[in-house]
Amino acid sequence: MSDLKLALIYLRARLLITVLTVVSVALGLALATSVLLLARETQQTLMAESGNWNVLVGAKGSPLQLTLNVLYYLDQPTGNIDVGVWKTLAADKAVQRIVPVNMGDNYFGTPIVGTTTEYFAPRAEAGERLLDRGVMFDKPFQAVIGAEIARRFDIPLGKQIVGSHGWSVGGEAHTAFPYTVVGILAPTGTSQDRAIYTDYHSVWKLHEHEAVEEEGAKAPEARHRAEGMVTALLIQLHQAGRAYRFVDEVNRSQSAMAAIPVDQISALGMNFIAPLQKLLLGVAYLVVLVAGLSILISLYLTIYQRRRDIAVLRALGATQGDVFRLITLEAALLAGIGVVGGWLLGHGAVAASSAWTLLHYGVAPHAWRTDGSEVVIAVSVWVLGILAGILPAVMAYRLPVAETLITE
Amino acid sequence: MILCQDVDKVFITRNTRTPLRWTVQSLTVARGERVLVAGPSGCGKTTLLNLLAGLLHPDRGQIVVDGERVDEMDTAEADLFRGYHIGLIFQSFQLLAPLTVLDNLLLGARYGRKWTTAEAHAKAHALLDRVGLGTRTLHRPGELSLGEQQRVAIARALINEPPLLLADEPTASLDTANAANVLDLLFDLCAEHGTTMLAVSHDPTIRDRFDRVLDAAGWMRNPAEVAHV
Repeated sequence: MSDLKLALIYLRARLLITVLTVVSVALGLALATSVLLLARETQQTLMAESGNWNVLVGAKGSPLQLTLNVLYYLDQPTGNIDVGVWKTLAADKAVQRIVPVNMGDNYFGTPIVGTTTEYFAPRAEAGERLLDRGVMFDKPFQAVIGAEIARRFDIPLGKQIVGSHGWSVGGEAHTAFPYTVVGILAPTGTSQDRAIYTDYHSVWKLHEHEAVEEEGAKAPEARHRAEGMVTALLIQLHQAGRAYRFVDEVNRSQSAMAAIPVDQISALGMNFIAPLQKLLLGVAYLVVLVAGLSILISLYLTIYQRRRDIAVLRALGATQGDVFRLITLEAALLAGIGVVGGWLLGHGAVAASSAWTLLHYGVAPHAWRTDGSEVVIAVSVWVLGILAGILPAVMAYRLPVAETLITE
Repeated sequence: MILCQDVDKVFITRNTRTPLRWTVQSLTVARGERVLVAGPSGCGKTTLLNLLAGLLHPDRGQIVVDGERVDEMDTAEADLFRGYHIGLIFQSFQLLAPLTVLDNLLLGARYGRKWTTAEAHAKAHALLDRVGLGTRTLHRPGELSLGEQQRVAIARALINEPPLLLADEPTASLDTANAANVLDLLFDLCAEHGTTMLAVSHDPTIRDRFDRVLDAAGWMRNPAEVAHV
């Protein structure tokens, strides 16, 4: 009869209290784990995507909105800029690569992005596999779709899809201009999984046709207006260190706004994600503290109810150290099972919600990846649980055996 | 086996907060002897068992059990000594309800610290067979009759083959037939293992089963005498 077996027998003997205590520990740790995991993965994903481009150029407005819209499709476009800006910047010697992006249509809420195949160049240069199936678009009204969109809408190669006007569901459908799906992108765990990409000329032609239909007599002007606009430009510079000067120059000389995406995401992380993470972690620590208290209360009550049994153990020859160790072991088991359960619950919840976060936020967290901070929290919770067992263990240690055997 | 010399223990009663003095000037029990301590409730019979087992510490005097000075032991030494040298049987059995019959015995063996795990299992099964509960090893105490529970308690007390068995009112919770059976079993097992037995009981019907009867009347004395201590 080992201490472990005896401790497990007593934990099982009060199964309801044991389960409730373990669940309270597990919930606390699950909350802390999922907050840490989501914050870490979100930050890593955002930083990874923002790092592909040195500068973004779009209509004047909020640089953060521009970044969130162009790279993550999380916010509405800031507006359009004249194609002349593209031509001017493309001629700038500092620019290594410049890619146009046109947005403004959606497929059941999924953004349709008009661009060039250069858009995928950073991934290709990093050695990533771009396509899961099919080929890249090479003419207007061909489309490649993100992996999550293909999965969610069950879209096969060759299917024709019809976009609607606007950023969200409910706009007018462009039934006269369907896109043919020619390729499905390999999953990336980024916002590219939840978008549809086509040649930017598609967007121009579509809106040119509609403008002509609407404005009739002024057709040439309408055609010119549609063809003369892009939503944003993604720019890689020959020297990343020139980004600040380049941004200054663009902001001074062009009727457009330039932003450094890494800076915008860092600021978002510092000003929004980090404080929110701290707040949620504070709540998680509070829950963990309550869980520690629940261990203390659970064991305290059980020691009071088990006074006779502990006295019998002592009468049989158990030392004060033996009963102290037994009660501490029970606390360690309660906290330990809670910690393991909480880790599984926290990571499992993130895994279960990863398809949703990918679809809505373009973040597919690596749900089962653990880092040092999680280990530190898990060990802290476990130690807290053991410490919570010390007071009941001291009660058991100091139990007057002879008196208890007579009175209980 | 047992020697008590000028042992004093002063208690403060729980309800009236009155001091009471427990005194035994001289008490000896020879190895292998079966001795009954008789007397009315409250005369200090159980106190003697607790002092011999090291569960209480005397204020004064010598207590020698199996050649060891129990009165000079600290708590940990007394715990280890008790587990190894003394078997205890309680009036209300004091079996641990969440444990099976077998585990109750193995727990006794664990704190006796005398046997390996295999030896403890073998001895537990042999003892349970001996007390007629070989087929009930996986039952919980609550599933047994009172007589069966007392037989488990006896087996647990003897699993470490202690040289001394202390039994507190071993038949008090049993009917007459069960009490006789339990006593028979107790005497047989003690005889088989050469165990010395000191039992306390206020039941006059069992006096003639023992080698010797000690009268505990007068061990617990009145407050006026305590004032002179």
